[in-house]
Amino acid sequence: MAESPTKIRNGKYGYEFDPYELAGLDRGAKLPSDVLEDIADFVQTKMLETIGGAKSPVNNKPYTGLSKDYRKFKRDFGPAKPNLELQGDMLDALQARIVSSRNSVVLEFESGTQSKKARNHDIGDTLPKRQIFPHAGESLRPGIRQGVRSIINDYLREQDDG
Amino acid sequence: MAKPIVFKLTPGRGKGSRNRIIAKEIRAQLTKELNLRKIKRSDLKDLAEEFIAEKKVQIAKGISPIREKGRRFPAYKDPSKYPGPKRGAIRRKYPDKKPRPVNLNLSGKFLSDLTYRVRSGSKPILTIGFWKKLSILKELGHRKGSSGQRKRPIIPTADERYSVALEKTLFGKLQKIALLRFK
Repeated sequence: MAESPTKIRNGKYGYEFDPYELAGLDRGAKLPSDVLEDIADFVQTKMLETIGGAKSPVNNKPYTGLSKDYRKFKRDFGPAKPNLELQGDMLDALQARIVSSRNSVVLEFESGTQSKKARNHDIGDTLPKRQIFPHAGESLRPGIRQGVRSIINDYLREQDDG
Repeated sequence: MAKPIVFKLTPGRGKGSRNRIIAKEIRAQLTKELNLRKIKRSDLKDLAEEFIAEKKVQIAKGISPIREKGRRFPAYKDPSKYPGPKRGAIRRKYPDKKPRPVNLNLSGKFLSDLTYRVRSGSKPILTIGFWKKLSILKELGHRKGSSGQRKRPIIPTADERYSVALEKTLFGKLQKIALLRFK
């Protein structure tokens, strides 16, 4: 069974990916840090944008709706939709970083508390499942993968052009 | 009189800021793929409108458009004061205003003033920003963190970049223009 790209590392719940693999490209030359940083920034933005629209960044499908009572409660804090944001601390904790040595990018929740909340949403532990990260055998939605492919292809084209 | 706060996309000139690097890249892309003179005013207008629309979608979700400022706008320092309680003055006047997401939207005037100017020709220039005095002052306030508010600018300075997602919107649109003009 494929290992899940999403796990807890040093108390932080996160997702690590190889950009070539995410983009559906054959693995090529090691990507320089600035390209990895661009990919990290892009993926983080697109994930936040998708979640902000109450959809999963994994399959772009709408999240399970809120209960009537919770919807009523949430109206005081923000839009009454399942955008994973009440006071905002959890999404504020979502950060992106690169791991140059592994030519990879990590999206993770910075704090232990927010990591636990995120994992609860992600796997549907005590809350309805509202997936944030890909699990084993899954990937991010096509629009995000396409954007990463474009960033890599732009870089490779620049290398060819010299 | 308050100077307009703008972000210019122009053919880059010389070394320096990130803005110019982006502008250089756009120019290089334009010269590779397009005869500069073929860029129409309408192309630049389409580009601006799509870019601003995408920028506003992100801002509405609490996402900062400027790369160096982190992905999310900083939270309100004390939501019990601003935007305040549900039956307080601000939220009674603006019932859609909630503590989250932090979206720079109260009456809507500020974001509706975000606009563009274009100049076509051999050196196309697209300028995105604020020209109305009150919105210029508001953006300056966001930039400096006036009146104790946290800093939430939306127009990058010369040393800053738009987020990669917004840059991709720009370049993606330019590529579409290139394909169209080469038909």
